[in-house]
Amino acid sequence: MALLDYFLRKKEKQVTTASKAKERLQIIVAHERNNRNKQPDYLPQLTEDILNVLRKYIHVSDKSLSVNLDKKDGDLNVLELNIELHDENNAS
Amino acid sequence: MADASIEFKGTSFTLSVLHLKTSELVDIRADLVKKVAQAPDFFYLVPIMVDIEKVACSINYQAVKVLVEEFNFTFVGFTGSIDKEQRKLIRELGFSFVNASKVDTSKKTAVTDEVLVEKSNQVDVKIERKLFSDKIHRGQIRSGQQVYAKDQNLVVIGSVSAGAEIIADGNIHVYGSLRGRAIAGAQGHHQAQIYCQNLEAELVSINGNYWLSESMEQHWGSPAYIHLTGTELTSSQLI
Amino acid sequence: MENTRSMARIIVVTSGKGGVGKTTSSAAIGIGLALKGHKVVLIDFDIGLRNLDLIMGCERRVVYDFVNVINGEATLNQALIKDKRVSSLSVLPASQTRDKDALNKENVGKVLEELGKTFDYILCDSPAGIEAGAMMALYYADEAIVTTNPEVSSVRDSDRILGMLSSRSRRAELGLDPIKEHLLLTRYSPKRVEEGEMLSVEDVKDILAIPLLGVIPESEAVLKASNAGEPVILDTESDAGKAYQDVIDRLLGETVDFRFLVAEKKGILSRIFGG
Repeated sequence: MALLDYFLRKKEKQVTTASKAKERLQIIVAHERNNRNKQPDYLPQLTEDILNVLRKYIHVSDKSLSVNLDKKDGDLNVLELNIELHDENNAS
Repeated sequence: MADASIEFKGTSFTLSVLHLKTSELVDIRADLVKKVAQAPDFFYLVPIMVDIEKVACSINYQAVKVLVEEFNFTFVGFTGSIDKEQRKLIRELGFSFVNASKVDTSKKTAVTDEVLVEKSNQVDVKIERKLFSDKIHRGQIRSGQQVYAKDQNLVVIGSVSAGAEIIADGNIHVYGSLRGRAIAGAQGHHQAQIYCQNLEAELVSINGNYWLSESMEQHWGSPAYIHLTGTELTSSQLI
Repeated sequence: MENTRSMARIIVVTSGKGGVGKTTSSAAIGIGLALKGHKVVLIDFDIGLRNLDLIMGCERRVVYDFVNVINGEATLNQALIKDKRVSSLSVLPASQTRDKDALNKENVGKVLEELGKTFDYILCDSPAGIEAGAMMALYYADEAIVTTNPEVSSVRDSDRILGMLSSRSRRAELGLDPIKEHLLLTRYSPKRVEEGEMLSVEDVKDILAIPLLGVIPESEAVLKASNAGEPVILDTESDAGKAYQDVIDRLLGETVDFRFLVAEKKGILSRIFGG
């Protein structure tokens, strides 16, 4: 019946767009908060570049590398690189 | 003679005339203070004749000249309808006496012998009608904008928005709606008027006398013009 | 900016008052013009608060922004985000900086000049207010779409902005032909106008005295559109979407009757069963 359909449809639509909005916001706000923790803009590019250099010599996946810039006590900046090497016994 | 270095020509000038209604110098000074304060620049170095018709026999001519000059008027001479003897005396004292070109008989009968007339008119400074040129503004005058027509009338072809301010030393004409503030006769011109096609102003003012919106109820939302009667603003229907 | 005029038409979407629908309208009009085949770039002129990218649905693809380009940290090509739905539309996102001196007439002029070489329309989404971002957005405009709600403070602020457009723009400073002004009335509710509760189109036109570009009815579709990151003009079923479509046609020179000015009178039966 149209009446029931009307109500069901309306509710569905509302749930859909609101939840989509929430999803988008969660991602973008988290991303921006991350930026606000003063990770410089170049980090993603830096990570990419380092991975490409590593790939010339060893097998690494995107997740093998993490790059972090920490500001300690005001003046001290520490660039931290974590490279996870695969167990050589396991192929690829 | 041809090629003379000088020439005498008869020329009429319009001069302001200060009519004295009392011989009490203290009162005259008090009123001069008030009047000049309304628009000091307007009166600065203005050439002035002093009409002593009312007070001829009882006044100290030298003291009057000194008093008038104290307020930065340029003293020209005395005038008024007085008898021959008085005129002779004035000239003997070294002052110029000039007959007015017209004798205004109507004024004579209307005037009384009061020493003090109404508060606002104790010293009757007659100012001849000022002719201003027009400053024409085409287009809307928007909120936050201000237009000042210095020594001119202001004609606005467009509307004046709420939050806008228009000022003129002369009259103000708005061919449109007046919703902002309009200030006419800004430098003391008492006869300035404000005309508009639709009165919805926040404030109107003529020579310092102002109305807020609440006083404009009578002609609110219609074509109206505003002028001064004495020191009271009055609105009238325009068309 | 040099004397050689860029061929692009620069349109500022401004209002004075905040929250009246500038970004919603910029997005809708940008997509609408692009769908008609024109090359359009949308620039978010806010300094510090980014909005246009969210409404356009490209927030996750922002790498570089307007100020990065101005500072030479990125080229325009790197910063411009091509729309996934309409390829002739690009977005230049706002900077997250709080430095209000980041934008000035010279550096903004250079960017606009470069954009003018590749785009037909440059749509400048102005922030609210009359500070740096808003003044920069209107400075180079050829046309202005003054977005106004039928509500007293919005009308007053729009009037103020109109004053700025006629005195603080480049065209005003150089004595060129004035900016072409358009009134875009948004969040219009014919029902409330009929009840005497809301300013009518005539009321607003009377006070602002500029030509009417469009009337966008208050619509639930607008919220749904921003939730989804899909400019409302793409919701072709919605009244707001249709109204924006009319705006596009009028901008491009067509004469279109104004719709959605009169409250629809739905009978109670059709309201229950119509769906």
